[in-house]
Formats: sequence, C-alpha cells, structure tokens
Amino acid sequence: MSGCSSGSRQSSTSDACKEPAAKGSIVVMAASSMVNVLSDVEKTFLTTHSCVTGITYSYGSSATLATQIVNGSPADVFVSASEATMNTVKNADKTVTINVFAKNTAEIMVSPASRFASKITDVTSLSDSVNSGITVGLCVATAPCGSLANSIVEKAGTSRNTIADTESPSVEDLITKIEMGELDAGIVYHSDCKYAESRNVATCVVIPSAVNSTNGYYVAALTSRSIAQQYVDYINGSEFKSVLQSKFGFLAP
Amino acid sequence: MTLSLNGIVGRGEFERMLDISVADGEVLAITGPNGSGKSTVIHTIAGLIPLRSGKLQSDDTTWDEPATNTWIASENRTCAVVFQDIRLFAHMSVISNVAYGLRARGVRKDEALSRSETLLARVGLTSFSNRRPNDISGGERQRVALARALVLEPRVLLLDEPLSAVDAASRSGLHELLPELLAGFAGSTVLVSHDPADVEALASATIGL
Amino acid sequence: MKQRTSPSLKVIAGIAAAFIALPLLSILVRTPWSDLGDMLSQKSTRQALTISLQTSVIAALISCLFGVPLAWLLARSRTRGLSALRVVCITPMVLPPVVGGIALLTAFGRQGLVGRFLYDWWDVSLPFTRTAVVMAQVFVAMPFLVLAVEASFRQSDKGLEEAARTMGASPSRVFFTIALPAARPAIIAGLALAWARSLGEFGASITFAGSFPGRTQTLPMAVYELVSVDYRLSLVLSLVLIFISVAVLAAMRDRWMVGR
Repeated sequence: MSGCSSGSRQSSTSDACKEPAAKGSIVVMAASSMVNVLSDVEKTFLTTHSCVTGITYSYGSSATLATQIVNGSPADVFVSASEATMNTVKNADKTVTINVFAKNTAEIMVSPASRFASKITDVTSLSDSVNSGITVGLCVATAPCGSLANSIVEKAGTSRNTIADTESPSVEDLITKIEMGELDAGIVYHSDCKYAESRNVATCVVIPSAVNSTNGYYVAALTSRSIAQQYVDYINGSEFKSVLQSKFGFLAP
Repeated sequence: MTLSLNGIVGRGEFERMLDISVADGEVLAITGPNGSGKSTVIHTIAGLIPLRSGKLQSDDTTWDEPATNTWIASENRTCAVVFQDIRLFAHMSVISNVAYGLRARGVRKDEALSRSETLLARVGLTSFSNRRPNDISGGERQRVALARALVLEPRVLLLDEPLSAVDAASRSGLHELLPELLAGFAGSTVLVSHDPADVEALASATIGL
Repeated sequence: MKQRTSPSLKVIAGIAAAFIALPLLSILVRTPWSDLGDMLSQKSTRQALTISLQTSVIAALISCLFGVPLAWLLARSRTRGLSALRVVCITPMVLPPVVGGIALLTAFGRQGLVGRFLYDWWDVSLPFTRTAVVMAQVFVAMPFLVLAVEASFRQSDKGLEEAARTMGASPSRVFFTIALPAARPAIIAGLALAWARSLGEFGASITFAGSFPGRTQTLPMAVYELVSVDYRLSLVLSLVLIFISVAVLAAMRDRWMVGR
C-alpha cells in the first residue's frame, strides 16, 4: 500500500497518512450487485488506509452509471458488472487502469410468500405455460444482469418474452420486488440470492452450469489520485477476494 | 285553494314575522324598501330557504313546518318563480327553456314543445322558439321567463320584481302583458314590486314590509 | 397610453424564458431528423407509443368519470371535514410520483392492504399489468381535473340551479342539465391536462406497473431506458413527447388556468 504506513506506531487513533497532501475522500460508482460486499469492507478499508478520509458510493445499473461517467459525473473509481459497460467508459477515455477481479453467476431467487415457491425448480418453470399466473422479473437486457439472464434463458430453450412480466433497470430493484412479495421470482446474481437467503427473505434455486453463464466484474481508476489507486488495489487484492468468495458467493475471476 | 304563510321568515341575520294568505285568482303585492325582506318571502315560499318557525301551506298540503319537521322540496312544490334577474338557461334555446319544467316533470317531448309554443304565443313571442337567450332583448327574455313559469300551470305564481332587470323601452310592453296574463291565471299570485303603478294595476291586496 | 416595461424586468424575464425554452429547442436541434422515419417505425417505438396513447386516454376518461362527481361534492357539499378531503385528493399533485407508486404498491400490491384480498380470494394480481399503468396514471392525473372542475363549479351561477329546481328539476337533473353544461369548458380543460399528465407519467407507473416492452412500457419509460443505450433514439422519443405536450397546451390556449 503505497504512501501510508500501517500498524507500527502505537497510537489511539488510526495511523497517520504518510502523504498528507494526498489525503481526501473518494467517489466510487459501483454496480448494484456490489452493494452488500462493498459496505461490508468499507470500515476495514478506511481503518487500514488512513489517507482516505471517506468514501461516497453511488450504486446503480452499470449501464446507467457508465452513461453518467461518460457525461462527466465526477467519480474516482468505477466498479462494473460487465465488460461491455466498462468498455463504454474506456472508449470515452475516462479510465486510467482496468482490471477484472471477480465473476458472478446467476440464480433463481424466489419469494417465500409466493404460492409457486415449491413449484419453481428450473428456468422453464418460470413461464406461464408451466405455472399459470406466475409473475417473474428480469433485469433489462441492457444491464449486465439482464444480458446474463438472456443467455441463460436462451440456453434453457425459452425466451425473455415467455418468462418475464416486468423488467427492472437494476438488480437491486428486482431483488426488492421479490423480497416484497410482489414478484414470485427473478433471475439475479448468485451472490445476491445467497445474501437474501442468509437473511431469510428469499429462497434460491440453482441454475445448472449447462444452462448458466457468468459475467465479469471490472474495476477501474478514473482519476490518477493515489487514494483512488489505493482503493483499486484493495479491490484487486487477496483480502477482498477472500471476502468476495467465501462470504458473499462471488467466483474467482 | 289558498296559499297561506304564518310564521317567521329569515335569511342570515334578517328575520321577519309574517301572516299572509292568498286565495285563487288573488294577487298579493309585497312592497317595501330594499332590505326589508321581500325577496326572502319569495324564496321561502318557493322552497329555496326554510321557514324559521311557523307554517307554510298550499291548500291542504303543508310545504314547510319546522315544528313537525315537515318539508317539501322546491322541485316538488306546485309553484313557479319569475326571478328578478330573469335566469334563463343560456345554453338552451328559448323553446327548451320554456319546456324545461314540463320535461323535468316527465311530460313527453312533443307535448311539452307544443304547450310551450302556445305559451310563447301568449306572451307575444311566436317566432322566437329557436332563438338563444343571449340574442334577444331583456324584455323578451323576461317574457320567456313568464312563459316558462306559466306553462307549468302552477297553483302558486311568484313574481320577484319582474320588471327591474328590463330596459325602459321594453317595460311598457310588459306593463300591458302582465295584467292580461294574471287575469287568465287561476292560482294564487305573490308579486314583489316597488313600482306603485304596477302594484295599483295588478294587485288585489297589498302588504308593506 | 403605451405601458413601458423596465429594461431590467425584460432581461430577467428573458433569462427565465430562455432557461425553459433552451433545453426544449436543443432536443429539436439534436434530433437525428434524417433517421426520424426509421426510428419512429421501429417496433419498440410503436409499442411504447401505442401503450402510452391507450393508457393515457383511458386514464383521462376515468379521471373525468370519477373526478367530476368528486369536484361537485367538494364544491357544493357542506359537510365538515371537506377541506381535509380536498387536501387528500389534491396531494398526488405535489407528491413525488415514485412515492405515489410505492403507495399504490402498498395498497394494491399482492401483499397490499386491499391487494392481498384481491390476490388470495380472486387471483387478481394488479402490479405489472396494463391496468396498473392506468391506475398509476389516474392517481397522478385526476387531481388536475378535480381542481379545474371544482373551481368552475364554485364559480357557477347558483341562481340558475335554483331556478331549475323551482321548475321541478330534481337535484340530479339539475346537475346533468344545468351544472354540467356550465362546467363544460373546465371539464374539457381538465381532460386535456389529465391526459397530458398521464402521458408523461413515469415514477409511479414504473414502480407499480413495472416496465416490459409491449406490455407496460410507456414512452417515458422507453426514453429512460434508451438514454444509456441508444441516445439518438431517446432523442426521437423525447421529441414525440414534447410535441404532444406542446400541442395540447397550445390547443387549450390558456383555458386551463384555474380560476377562469
């Protein structure tokens, strides 16, 4: 970790930043599916990186965030859920460094209040022809979780049109609706489903790997500030990777 | 065949004790300065304002008696009003205005129209059927209002300052028309007016407020 | 004598007008005119436009059917608590639309106060249907109509209604033959406003009815999605919405100003 010392001095407050001129707060724009894991590590990161005084997060669909960055939204770091959305930002010359740090796969998230809960076994069971009246949501095709859902749905031999009753602009929106009980089920990330299941607000149905797909998570520094790079380095580091994979269900890149 | 009101009429802060009775064929004129409550009496008889106390009845039917909670709504009273400010329905033709009450009471359209035509002729507006209220003069409008009231053959006819909104030129024509119409009217008439000549010409009895 | 407006007032007014006009004109300038025909005939465009027009017209008519009697009640009734009712009925006008959407979900969603009975007893699930789109639009648009029509009923000549009653007309006859015709200009203005508002509805609709192309995706939702994907198409759709809105306002020519 360049520029900041850690641990050797005994003091009641966190260790002083070695480059006071670099001290400041950063703005991180991240895909919705990152919200749980990034909040989880925030405190640890700030404690061990005393040059960073604070982090402001903006979560949303990677596609929406990419557009905002291209249009000039001030951010130091971009964490996206697909290569395509990261490329949008790269092609607009907004990135300094890019790296892929994790993968995610999809899962069917089911609302416990749903009357179809026991009947949802695979992707084809999400269509009205199999379960009449079932209400299912998918991410919009232009969002990373949506393009993931598209490839899965095709491999399963059905179509978006047959399955979906509504499209959500972000996976966050989809998850909320399923948790609320307004949707019976949806195709979300495995990491999100696992998190919901741990809180007992949803159940998860595995999508077999023959049908499943993965998407990559990319992190980019958008400015050349050293504290931005520190955050990026942390995301790429082994400590974060172990949190991602063992605690939150993400896959290795 | 009598209209009788014995009680207290009131509107807002105003109140007045009254005891009147008008038989068939009679015309009672109510006179008095502005603010003495002449319009209030008309509105009370018509059922637009309730009596404060006492009794209002037409023949054997009690229209309004607060003590016994008796109240017959305006639309169910056999009386018709000609208002001071005329109040024709501007979005309807003259003939529709005249026929309005008949249609409201369930008379068939063709019968209502023919009876209305007859009344229009009586008030001297024979060819006015399809004209619009806004296209005719004040005097002509008041004639339509008279026709509209009389076509209903009410038991009680209420005239509230019928000439005050009419221009001077048209007034003389109405001066001639009114006695003729009232002479041919079988029921009781209450007339509010502050024109002594009209009162003289039309009234069989007068009361001053 | 000719009134002279002070120059500084003109400058300030000019800035205000320019601030509003400029973004609208920019869309006009940036619209890809050469591809307009192709883009307008695209399936997604036609679908969104059809859904938008269908739902907004129905929402406007429903707003009228239920809003006029409500306006009559608010204008004429003398029961207590009426002013509180008026505030409640007008609230959607100032509420952020997405809050309206959440409210609708809480009431009519499958776990909602009323919605749960509809779902459990009759298998009726309202969210994510075209009905939900109309419901969201009525929720936000009806207050406009109620406000315009109530003002008209308040100002109308009660003397005419009295005259009609003395002729023998029942209260409902008076309403249909005298009061309603007199309120016609306000009702038309209210209809136009309600329609325009319904057409532009986004927050409540996307929350309660969701968005699916061909089913519940209206024009504003399509624009929202396209902004990060096909910017040029989003400009074209925006143009369509602006054009319709301006046309409605121009046709009404100030008659919508409440209190006229």
